[in-house]
Amino acid sequence: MPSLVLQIQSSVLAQIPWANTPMLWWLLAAGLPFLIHLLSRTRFQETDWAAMRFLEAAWKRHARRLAIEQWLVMVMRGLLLAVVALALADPRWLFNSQEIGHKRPPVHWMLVLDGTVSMDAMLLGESRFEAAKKLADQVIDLAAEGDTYSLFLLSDPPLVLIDEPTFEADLVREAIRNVRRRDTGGHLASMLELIQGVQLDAQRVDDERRETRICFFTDLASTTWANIESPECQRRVAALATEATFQICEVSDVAEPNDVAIVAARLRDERLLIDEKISLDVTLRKMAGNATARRLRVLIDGEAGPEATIAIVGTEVRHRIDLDIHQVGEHVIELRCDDDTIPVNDRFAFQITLRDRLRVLILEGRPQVGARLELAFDPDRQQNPLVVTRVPLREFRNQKLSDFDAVFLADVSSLETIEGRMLADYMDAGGGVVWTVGPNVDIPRLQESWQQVVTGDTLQFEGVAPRGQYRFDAGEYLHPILSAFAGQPRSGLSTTPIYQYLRVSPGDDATTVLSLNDGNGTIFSGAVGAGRWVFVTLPWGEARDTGKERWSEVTVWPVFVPIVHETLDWAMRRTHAQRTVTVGEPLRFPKLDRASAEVIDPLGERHVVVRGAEASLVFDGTTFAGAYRLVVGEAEWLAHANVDAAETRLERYDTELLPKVIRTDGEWAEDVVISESNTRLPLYRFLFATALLLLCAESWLTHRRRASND
Amino acid sequence: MERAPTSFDPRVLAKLDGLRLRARHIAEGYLVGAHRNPRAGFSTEFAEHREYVPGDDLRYLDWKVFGRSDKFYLKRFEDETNLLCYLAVDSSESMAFQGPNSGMSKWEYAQCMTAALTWVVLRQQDAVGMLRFDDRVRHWIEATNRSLVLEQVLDALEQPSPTTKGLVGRAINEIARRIERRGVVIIISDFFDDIDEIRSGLRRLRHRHCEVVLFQLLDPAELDFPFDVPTRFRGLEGLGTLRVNPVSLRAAYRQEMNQFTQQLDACCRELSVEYLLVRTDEPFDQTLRRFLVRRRDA
Repeated sequence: MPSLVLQIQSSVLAQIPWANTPMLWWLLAAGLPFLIHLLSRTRFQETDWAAMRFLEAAWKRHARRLAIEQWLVMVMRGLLLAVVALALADPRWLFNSQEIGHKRPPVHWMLVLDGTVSMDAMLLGESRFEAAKKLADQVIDLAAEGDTYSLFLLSDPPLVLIDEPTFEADLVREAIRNVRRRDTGGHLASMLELIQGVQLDAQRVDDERRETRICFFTDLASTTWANIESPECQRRVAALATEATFQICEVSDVAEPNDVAIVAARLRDERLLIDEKISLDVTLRKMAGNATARRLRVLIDGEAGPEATIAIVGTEVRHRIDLDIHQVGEHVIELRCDDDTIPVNDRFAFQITLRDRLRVLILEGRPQVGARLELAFDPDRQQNPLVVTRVPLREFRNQKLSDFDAVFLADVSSLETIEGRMLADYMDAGGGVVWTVGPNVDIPRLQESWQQVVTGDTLQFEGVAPRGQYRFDAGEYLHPILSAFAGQPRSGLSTTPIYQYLRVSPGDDATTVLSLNDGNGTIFSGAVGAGRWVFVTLPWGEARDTGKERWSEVTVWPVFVPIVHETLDWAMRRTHAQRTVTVGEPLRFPKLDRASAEVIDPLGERHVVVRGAEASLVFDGTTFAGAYRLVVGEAEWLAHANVDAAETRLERYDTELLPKVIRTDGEWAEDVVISESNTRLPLYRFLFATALLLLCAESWLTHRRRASND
Repeated sequence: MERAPTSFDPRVLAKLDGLRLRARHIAEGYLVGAHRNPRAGFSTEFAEHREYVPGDDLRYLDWKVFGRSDKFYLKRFEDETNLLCYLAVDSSESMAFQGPNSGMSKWEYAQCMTAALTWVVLRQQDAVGMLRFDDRVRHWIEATNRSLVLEQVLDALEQPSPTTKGLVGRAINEIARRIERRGVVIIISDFFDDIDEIRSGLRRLRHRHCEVVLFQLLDPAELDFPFDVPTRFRGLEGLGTLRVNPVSLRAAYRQEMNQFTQQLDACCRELSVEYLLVRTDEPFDQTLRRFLVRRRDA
């Protein structure tokens, strides 16, 4: 009997999700009436009987009816116990009534789990993602013999977890159980493209005609689903809808969400010198709910640092935190807020590199043109954390650029190829280059040299502007280099006399930092790899031997020293910047001799990184927030990825805006349980009602038998 | 409400040891009670002379009495005035049945009935004989009014308990064939036999101008079928076994039994045979009274 029960469980009962599976063992009690009947057959009394002929006559006449009645009563009693046992086990699912009565064609289920970061939101003690997994499990429970499954993860990039449709429901369940949510957003168009590909492949391979059902288990977060309105998504949905039906199985919050995210942490001063105060601006944003305060803790290299309780006023609040670090080298700074609806955006980690001093290399295109620049770095001739090395351009090749935080090219018109490559590699690894020109500029050679160093659509050198009276026009002081001059009219920025300059046309990959009053730019900036460049169309140095007319009075104007320092601050090497990214962005590691290396992600999984076209190793698989380690032999480089707080917004996409072919009415999955309270079918009530009916019927039948026998 | 047991109750009588004692107790006890009701005798025709009424055959007038008393009396002959009574008792195996709530078996009840009736008939100076049968007549005691016959009857009744198969119909036929003088034939049996066979025998008896009385003795269990637990019934007279749930079969069995007794009753009515259904838990005095009152009213 127990084996029979196990067989039943494995076949029919296992198709149904039960709230209280152990209660199914009470099904054994259904056999009790039959057992009692069998036992009673072995226990009877004996007696002599004279009127045997009448007894036999009665038996022959009524034996069949009596046997039927007896079995009927036994079956009813067994059924009664079985129904009560089923009711106690609390079944949570009932096949669609249409599917009970009619055999439907086999279905290819394309299950799409929303694995975006918003699915980290907690829903009744479990994350939305876990709830989505359960829903997917229940859809598999609903499936019938002959159905096939594919499994996808909606993330950025989206993933196909099971591409070839499989009949093995257990395999799919296992895949669902093991899949991890990503900390990225979701790329809906790519997801639909993948689904389309799998569906086409499935149709090509499968001989049997199947209905395709695409089922999204999602929270319908607007950050992901707003993209459904894009032409590409609309086109793909329309194409899929010709062969498939769409269904949204939504997981949503019952309770009010309450979420505050750490959206940014910015260093106030990028120099990061030892014994100087390190100030950090932390930005918190209220994503949902009515939080009034959050406690913020700082961990420095894993050790507890300063703490603060930050009042949340308005939507976004910025808070300054001072760090006290006295050790040169790399440090991991981790910020933590109290856990709330979405825990993953309550953490933010990054690295900083603390230096004992800054080292600047000045390469002189002509002798002594860098002297004034050197003076600008240390005007008081005091003990300064800035160490300046000034060398002629011909000694460039002898320099080890990685020892310097920034390289200034003073009045340089041309570079050798090898020198250009050295600068390009230096910037790619995070170094900063500031290039100035002067009256002796050779435009064709300059253009050629520039393109060796900086790739992309950056600057086009047009020629020297005609002599005239020009002034700087800082505009809105938007660029960080200029922000220090905002509200400082005595700095001389707007009064600096300028007579000539190199006219440059900026491309898409260049930013104009500072313009002149004729509308042309005079300082431009951009990025190469992890480094930054600044190009100045004026000389920031002065040669004594030149007989040419001066291009400007910048070097003697009050603006010179501060603008040189601000430029250095912006451009200098940020070893930490390249290793703190938003999830989804590539991580760049230093250029190594090796062609490949191994990256260990926050989950401890290893990935091989191969050097591509770029000089440095780039890892573009940052799908989880946390620390990534590049391991080369015994050496190790650390990098951090943080979630994009914008992706953790909890606004629900308006389903009215979904294409009409995407159903949310649950026509073929209306029994999917979204929460305990709203959609679960009270099947146990029907079972108890059936038990009561059986009880009445059994009582009536027994009474009828007794009455007729007495 | 259950009746308080009297000294005629079978359960009480069963405690008396010996058939003689039981029969005497019944007969004497009954006769003592009968004095209170003189009309409740065995025969209302017990008289040697009776007054003449117009229409009587004048050949039977007793002229001597007329000469002495100047009254007309009819003279009755000895043979004609004495009652001849044959008591035929079924001694087949089925008569040995005794239900769970009965004081005695059907055979024991029949023994007592037979002995008591013999006693009563003899006390009224009538002739009585006895037949014991199963599938055929086994014992035959010719009717006589001598008191010796009582001992013979008792001896015959005290023969070992019945173990043979009963064929009542055939036995009645044999009785009808063998009986020489007409009289009253009282057959005491459960009559578990084919009704047509019984009818045939009774018709034959009636054809011999015998007055026939049937006492059908049935155990209360045979009528009520009071069993409540699954039971295996072993059929007497080699009728096999049957395992049934009595509760579910009770109504059907009762119906079969009722149908049989009704058929027997109808058969008796058809042949002008007196029929009495006697439960073996019925006190003997009641049974005798029921019988004698019906005879008086007939």
